[in-house]
Amino acid sequence: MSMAERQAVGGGAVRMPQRRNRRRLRQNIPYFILFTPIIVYFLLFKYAPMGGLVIAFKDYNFADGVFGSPWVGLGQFETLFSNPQTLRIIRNTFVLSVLALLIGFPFPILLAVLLNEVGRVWFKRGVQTLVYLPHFLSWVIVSGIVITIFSIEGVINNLFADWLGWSPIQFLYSEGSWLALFIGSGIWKGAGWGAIIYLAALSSIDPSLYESASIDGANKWKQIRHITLPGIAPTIVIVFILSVGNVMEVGFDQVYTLQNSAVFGISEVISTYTYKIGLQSLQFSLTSAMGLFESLIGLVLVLITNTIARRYGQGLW
Amino acid sequence: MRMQRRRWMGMAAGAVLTGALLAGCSGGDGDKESGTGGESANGEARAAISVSIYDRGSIPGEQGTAEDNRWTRWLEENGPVDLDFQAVPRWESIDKFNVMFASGTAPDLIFEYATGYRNELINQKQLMPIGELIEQHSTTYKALLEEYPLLRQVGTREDGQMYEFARLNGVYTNHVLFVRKDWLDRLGLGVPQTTDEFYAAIEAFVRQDPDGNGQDDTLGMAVTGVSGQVLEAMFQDVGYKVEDGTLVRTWDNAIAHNRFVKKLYDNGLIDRDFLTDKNGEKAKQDFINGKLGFYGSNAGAGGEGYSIYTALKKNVPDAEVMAIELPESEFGQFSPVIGNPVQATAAINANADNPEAVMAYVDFLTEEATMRTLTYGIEGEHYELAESGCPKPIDAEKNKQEQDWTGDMRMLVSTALFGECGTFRNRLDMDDPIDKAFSAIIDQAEAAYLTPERPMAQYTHVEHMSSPPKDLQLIVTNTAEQLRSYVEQALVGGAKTSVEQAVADQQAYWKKSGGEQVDAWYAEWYETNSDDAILTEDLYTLGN
Repeated sequence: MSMAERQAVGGGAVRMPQRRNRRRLRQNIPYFILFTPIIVYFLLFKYAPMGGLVIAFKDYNFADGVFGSPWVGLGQFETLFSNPQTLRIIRNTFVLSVLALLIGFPFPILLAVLLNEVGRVWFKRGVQTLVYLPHFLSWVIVSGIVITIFSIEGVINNLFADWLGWSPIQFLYSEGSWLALFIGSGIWKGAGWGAIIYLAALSSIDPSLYESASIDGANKWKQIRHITLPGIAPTIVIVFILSVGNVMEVGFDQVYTLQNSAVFGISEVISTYTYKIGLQSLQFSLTSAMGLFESLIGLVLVLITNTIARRYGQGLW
Repeated sequence: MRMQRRRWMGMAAGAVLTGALLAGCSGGDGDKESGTGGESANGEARAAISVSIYDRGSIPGEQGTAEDNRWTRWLEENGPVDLDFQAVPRWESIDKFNVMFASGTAPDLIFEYATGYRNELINQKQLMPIGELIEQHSTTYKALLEEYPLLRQVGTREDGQMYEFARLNGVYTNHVLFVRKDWLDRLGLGVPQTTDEFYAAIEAFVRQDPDGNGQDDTLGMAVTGVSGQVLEAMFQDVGYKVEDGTLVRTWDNAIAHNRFVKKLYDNGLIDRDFLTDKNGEKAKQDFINGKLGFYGSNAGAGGEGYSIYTALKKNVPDAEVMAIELPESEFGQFSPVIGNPVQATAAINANADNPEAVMAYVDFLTEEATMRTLTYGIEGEHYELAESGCPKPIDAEKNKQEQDWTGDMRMLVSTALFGECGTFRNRLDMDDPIDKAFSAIIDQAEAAYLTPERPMAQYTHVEHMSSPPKDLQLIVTNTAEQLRSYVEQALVGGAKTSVEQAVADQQAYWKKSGGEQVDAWYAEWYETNSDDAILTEDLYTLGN
């Protein structure tokens, strides 16, 4: 409805909400100013670079640049999907991230619930600090530790050899055990940090619920099942939806620093492929096409998850 | 009205913040401009160019950074133009250059050793043809070109244009196979002549306690990094070889080579975690710590070999090292990679604003006085002339601090022009027992590798190989890792796996990925170019 129409229909009645809107805007100006850098950040670093996605449909070369390079339509996608490796790389990305998500997701929750049940504050604080310290180590360091511990000359194999007389186990060079190490190291590094958000959610549960439950004779286990978990359920769902969105993004650092060519069949993922073929071998268009494809799958997954969550009344939007 | 003003204020605040962000991004070069005089002594404005410089992290901290140290300042003060050095990490140079070119910030003068990458840049029209420029504006380099037409040949591409500046290195060794001579002697073994004897020596080094410390803590041979490449050369497992007048893939060589390595691995004679030693650093540490018998070193008879040797002597004073010929395999006797006698190293960015200024700088770099200073330092401060007429270091310790790390600034220094003075041997102090012993190692390496009787295993130096066109190159890059993976799984797979099966898998995969087109391209390239191109047999006489 245009202004003229409104005035014609409602006369003076509409002036009130309009003024209120204006006043609300004025009151909130400080917040808008605070919010500006974030808008600028997103425009500059998240939205503007999206323009570069056009090279997924071009044959990009330095001389003509992003906008001058010749269009090739879906040519890059054809090259991509005619390559026998591509499907396996996509499968690997999917397998690694889905497993990491499904297996790794409950750990921060478990940790938070356990910490919540700890009575002594100093112990709780201490453990909490210890478990989120690994988050601050870079993957180069964590992978170095993992490789040192699990290599054939490493600590574990030496213990096995000395105590049990076993011959060494190739943890790093067979696909199954490599996968376990990949997921395990991800949990070790990330669980403590991930627990913080649940701990925050836990602190918002009304203590009187626990009191009345214990008066009714509920034991610890029942309290956790019927009060704690439902209390943090909305947080769990939100975190889950957000992590599903990242499913196709296996972090580059972790895979790249842990992988070796004996487990190439499981460890080559989209991000390492993009690095090796795109950045090191100058196939920018091809790897942009791969990246675009990756994002599309991520988007579809988020939409699906959210639809399911909404059905249970927990949707993000 | 008032609301509008408020809105403007909000936007202004946003703009200020954006400005601050942008300033944060570009703050890097702001301070440099003020430091250097923008004008030369006579008041005439000097041109300014940007130049890439490798950063190996080897410059002592108190000497500054790769971009700003006594020699970058020296080049700027004594040269004709103002210089903006841009550091490029040595082992990620291609990633870095790619980012620079994609974002339009690549330097005017580019120094890069990898010919394949320069070819890629030429394909993408990122390098400037320099024939005209040299003709019209060059002095020193033009004279050099006229005297040594090979420089023109290596810098010229199929389209007949010259793109690169090159240098003359003379014939010299690069990869070297070291052995612990004292271990051989203690176990009563001779220098292995064949791969069977080589295997036996490796086994003895592991099983018979060659260092005599009563512990089972020695390794026979390194198989990672350059050591791995030396093993490949031994069996000529180098991708393509000349057979019946054409180039063919070395599948048979791959089987023999990997069977040898698998046998070493299965019998516990090599580092069982070699797959995690991606760059050969661990093998190097093993050798330096006196735990490894055979080791292949990059620049083994040059600076790198010298620092490895001195480090080993520090840890194990009794250690004796010698450089040996590669043992003979069923495919013949070969040499590891040797140095490139005529090497293209530099090119001008196609988008350089002021090519004449870059040319003037290249002329300055190739003047004899500049080459001498970059190589030896300043006369009276870092070197003095010995009786032989060659520059000799005055104080080796001081030079280590101030001068030894200038290698990457010498990328246009033609050491061959210095004659005997330009060799690494000339830097050694013959009164020092360690230096004297190392000079013997240099002699052994040169005698072993610099002869066409034991040719380098590749059909030509990798820096003289042509690159296939882009679509074929993509096949090569796309398959490389999978091909390696087949073999490495077989190497560590124990009795369940066989090298023959792995190589058969490789062949099938290569075929499925269109690899035969690549093979055909190489064969055709060889057919049409083998008369004119620089091939391995030419390397031994080049530039002499």
